[in-house]
Amino acid sequence: MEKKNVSSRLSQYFIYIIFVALVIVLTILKPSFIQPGNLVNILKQASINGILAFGMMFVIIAGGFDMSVGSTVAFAGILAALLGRGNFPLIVPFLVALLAGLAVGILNGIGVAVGDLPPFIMTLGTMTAVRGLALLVSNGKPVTGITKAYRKIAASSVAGIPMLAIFLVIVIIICSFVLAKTVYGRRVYACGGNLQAAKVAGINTTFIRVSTFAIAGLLAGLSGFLMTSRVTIGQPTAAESYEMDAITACVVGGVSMSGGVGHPVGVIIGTLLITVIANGLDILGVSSHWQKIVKGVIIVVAVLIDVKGKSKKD
Amino acid sequence: MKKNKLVAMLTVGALSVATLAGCGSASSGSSSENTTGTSAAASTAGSGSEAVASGSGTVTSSSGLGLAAGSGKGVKVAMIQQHQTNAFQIAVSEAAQKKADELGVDLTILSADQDAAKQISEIEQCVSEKYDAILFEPVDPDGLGAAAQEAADAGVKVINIISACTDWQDYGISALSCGDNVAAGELEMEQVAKKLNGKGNIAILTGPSGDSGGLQRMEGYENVLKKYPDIKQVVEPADCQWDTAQAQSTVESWLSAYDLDAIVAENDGMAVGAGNAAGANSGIVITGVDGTPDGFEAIEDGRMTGTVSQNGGQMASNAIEAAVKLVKGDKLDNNEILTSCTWIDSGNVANFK
Repeated sequence: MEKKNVSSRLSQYFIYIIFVALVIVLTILKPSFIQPGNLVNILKQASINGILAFGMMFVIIAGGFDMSVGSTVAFAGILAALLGRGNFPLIVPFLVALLAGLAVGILNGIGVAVGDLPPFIMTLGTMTAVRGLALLVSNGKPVTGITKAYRKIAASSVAGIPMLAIFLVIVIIICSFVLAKTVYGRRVYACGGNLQAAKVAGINTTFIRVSTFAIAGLLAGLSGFLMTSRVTIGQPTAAESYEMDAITACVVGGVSMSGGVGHPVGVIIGTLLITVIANGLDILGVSSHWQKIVKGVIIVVAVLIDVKGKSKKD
Repeated sequence: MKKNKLVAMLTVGALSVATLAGCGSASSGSSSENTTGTSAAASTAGSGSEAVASGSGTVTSSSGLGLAAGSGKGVKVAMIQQHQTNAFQIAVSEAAQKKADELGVDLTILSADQDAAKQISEIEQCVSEKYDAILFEPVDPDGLGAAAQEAADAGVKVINIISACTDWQDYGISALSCGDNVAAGELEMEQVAKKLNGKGNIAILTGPSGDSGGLQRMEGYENVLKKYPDIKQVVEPADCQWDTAQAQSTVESWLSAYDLDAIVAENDGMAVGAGNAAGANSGIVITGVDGTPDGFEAIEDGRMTGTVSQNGGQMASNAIEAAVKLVKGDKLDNNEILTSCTWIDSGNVANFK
């Protein structure tokens, strides 16, 4: 009995232990890692992936999967850049980016929940097509000339905290509240836990599933808007494979790929872990090829411990 | 079920309308044709650009091969690009089309989307559709030889553009029109060394490991660095996949841990990212290669120091002219047409926009 508890505890807190250990090791190897300037870097670098990971969290908990968010970031970012060159007030590119993301998300949701396509296939299709749209709209070139005011959004900070991180915190607060405290949130878990049972219980599962994809799309649109501000150009090839980082943050943070399980705090730690690996290895001057290896190992080990912990509980 | 499909199709339709609306404003972006102002730029470039111009047995051309307008009537040419997803490649398509229109050439432009297998199929397709000449930029320097040979055997004039196939002469390829990535790397690093007075800490941002263009630029960097023992690389070169956002994160991290005097990037996209991380007029020398609109913008507002333009458009238009000559049965003065590269900084960037 006691042994079971230990192993399930371990699986629950494994990711926190890894995270703290990594921070300690990096600080010892390179004290500048823990300097305020670099902590600000980490916040900035975590923001866009964090926002995407929170959208992905809804989709995965509801039993889905979204491959298209990277392409959506690029598409929304291109639209925002085209509209953010001074011809319109900033609210226009902001809203258009959100709406473009939302449209892709709803399309994904309809394909999966109404058309009954496997999420992987549906979002693989939109991933490819939306990347094509981004290239088409931008004519394959980076979109330059966004206004100073637009650039300032990502470059500015409030009381030392970068604006990007403030966006992330707002997203975290809203998403965590919706998921943990509302009826809607509980229904998302129910859909992912057992779709048939949820249907029988009278939940409008079609609506719930479409809406989770819509949330992921909306947040991808927001990320696209912020991404353009951060890199100061709209790039059709931007955010390549960002969906993988978002999925990694979820999975490492304890969101189960089979749906129905996952907590926002885990996703926050998952996001920070990925960012700290990249930032730490950059600071150490280690080849970026190692980042891929380290990330890959952590994904597999995290899920392995998660699965082992669960099978012992049963 | 039918109803569901209809909904899906309507949504797709709505998305494409949004696309069309965006297109109008996109095409007004700057084009990067760099044929004018080359001589003025070359004089500011110093020793690096001269080294490019003096290849033995090759022709350095920035004014074309001198064919009369309309002389390419009835010639059917296909150009197969590596991909069409950045400003450099779009400049190549635009310049090729412009030259083709001028000469009256019937030009078809295809993209291999970075896929060597797709490029081989496209070459085969062009042969069976009886094109007179095929221009192609190999996705892989070693993988396209056999396909080129087959096309040449079928009587099509094959011209290798932008980056050379390994041992291209051995595969029936009639001409090569390209730049020189090693020279571009040398020119970039020479400029950095000059700005640093031969002494300082530098870091390098590279494209994807194994990319031949990137490796050649790196070779150019190393050639120059040998001459300057006091210029030190304080971190390993970082592979940032040509990506602005990734370069920006990497450089932000570097700047909190290292004291850098210069950041040397293998393309403009990554140099822009480095410039964003360092901020405008940071005192850090930041350079790139390509001469793309985002790079020019960063040079103008002080985030970037300068860039090396490879004049991809010139390579394409030279190749079109070479194709017309060859199809008409004329000989080329030289079958290796090199386009020189130019250094662009705040002093001359206005000429290139």
